[in-house]
Amino acid sequence: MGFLDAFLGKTKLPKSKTKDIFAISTANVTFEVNLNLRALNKAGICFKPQASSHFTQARAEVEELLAYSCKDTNTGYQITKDAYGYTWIVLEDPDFEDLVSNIYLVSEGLIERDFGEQLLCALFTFKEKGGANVYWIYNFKHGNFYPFAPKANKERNSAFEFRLRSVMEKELPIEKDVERWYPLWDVPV
Amino acid sequence: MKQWYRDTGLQARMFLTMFLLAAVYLAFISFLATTGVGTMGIVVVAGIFIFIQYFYSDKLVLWSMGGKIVSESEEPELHTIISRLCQIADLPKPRIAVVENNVPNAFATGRSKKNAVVAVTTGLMHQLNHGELEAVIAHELSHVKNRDMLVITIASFISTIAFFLARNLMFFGMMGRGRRDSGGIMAVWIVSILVWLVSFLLIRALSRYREFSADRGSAAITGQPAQLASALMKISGTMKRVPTDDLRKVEGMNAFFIIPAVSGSSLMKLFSTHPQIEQRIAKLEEMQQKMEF
Repeated sequence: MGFLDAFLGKTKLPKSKTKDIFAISTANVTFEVNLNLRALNKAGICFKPQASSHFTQARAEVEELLAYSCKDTNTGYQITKDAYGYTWIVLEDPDFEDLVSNIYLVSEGLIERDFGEQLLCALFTFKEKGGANVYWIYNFKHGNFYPFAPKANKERNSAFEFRLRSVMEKELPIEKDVERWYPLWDVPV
Repeated sequence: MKQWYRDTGLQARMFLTMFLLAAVYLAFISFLATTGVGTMGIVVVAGIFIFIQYFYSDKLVLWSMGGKIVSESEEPELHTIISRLCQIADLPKPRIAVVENNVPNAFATGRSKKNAVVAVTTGLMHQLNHGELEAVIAHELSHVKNRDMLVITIASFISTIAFFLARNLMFFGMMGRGRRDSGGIMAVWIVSILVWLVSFLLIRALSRYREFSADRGSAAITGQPAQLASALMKISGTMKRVPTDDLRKVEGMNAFFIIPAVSGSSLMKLFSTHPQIEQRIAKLEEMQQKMEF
């Protein structure tokens, strides 16, 4: 199918996968026990807004859903736009599972309304004890996670990222191709 | 609604073109096989030539355009734009090059997704705003995703051989065999020229269809066909027609404005690799409308 699509010049965007996003909930325990990583009560989901009336409507509906859900789970949320024109929904909640389920809600909401292709990633924030922030990024197109440990001056702590991978490999679906561990600098989360 | 970036007609035309091309090539090959003229030498030389060109396409194109691969620290913004688009389109990140040139342009090259290079000129980066630049890059990424380099190389493979034959056959034939086969050589020579001419036109058509496809791909990736339309207008200079001066200021002058005549006869259209900007913009506007309603 992929070859035929290319042959006829169809650009098909891959579907987003949300199934494995809940794996981070269970992994959270291991983060804390084995890696000294504490969840920072913050998570974000990022998507590329589309300039169309359908999208505007879908977005409004998803926002409404989110508002209801957040009231229910006592989650704070805010919507921002970054320097590259992508939209971020930033969630704040001391209960990690509520963060995950609300991220899931937004992504499923967009997918159900046919805008799943617009999803870029979800991002969960952690802090190393006495250290810097560390992120686990969920890639919707591949349905898996990768670690991102930024340092100052847009450098990344690759050694630590590799360590995170080796510890978590069994519990968390992790992106095998390191070339796809795209950094996300200056995130609003 | 979801299929707004599909165009079945375009795909049908593309398929027909490729089919015709294959038919012409097959006929040519069987013709070569039946004539007793020794063409093997030229075919092999042309084959090697095309293979090298294909294999080193990334380096050759970069070298001829004067492109320089830029690292993430040199062009952080460009890198971020591209890696995010790659994430959305699920493509491996290509190498990124910048060409020092004021003419706004962009191109993609490389024999596979893994070997791809996407290059932009400095003029493109200066003239386009963020969304437009993103749309142009998404267009180039679509070329990579659709494997256009491979498609066009395969499509022009036998055409190039026909071209080699047409150019060199007389010379080689006279040298090698004397006058005995000159009738056969003459026939191969004429057929080669014909095949080359016909396939040339078909390849041009195919190439234009691939451009339209890449425009659609760009719209699919960015979700904003209007951005690419606007970028195309700026690049082609059409944007100059859209005034930025306040209406009250220019009202008195309006009568003197001249709309540049649209040039290009249908013969010119046959020969160009890129479709007319007006046509591409019209298609993009159509897509934007389909998205909205």
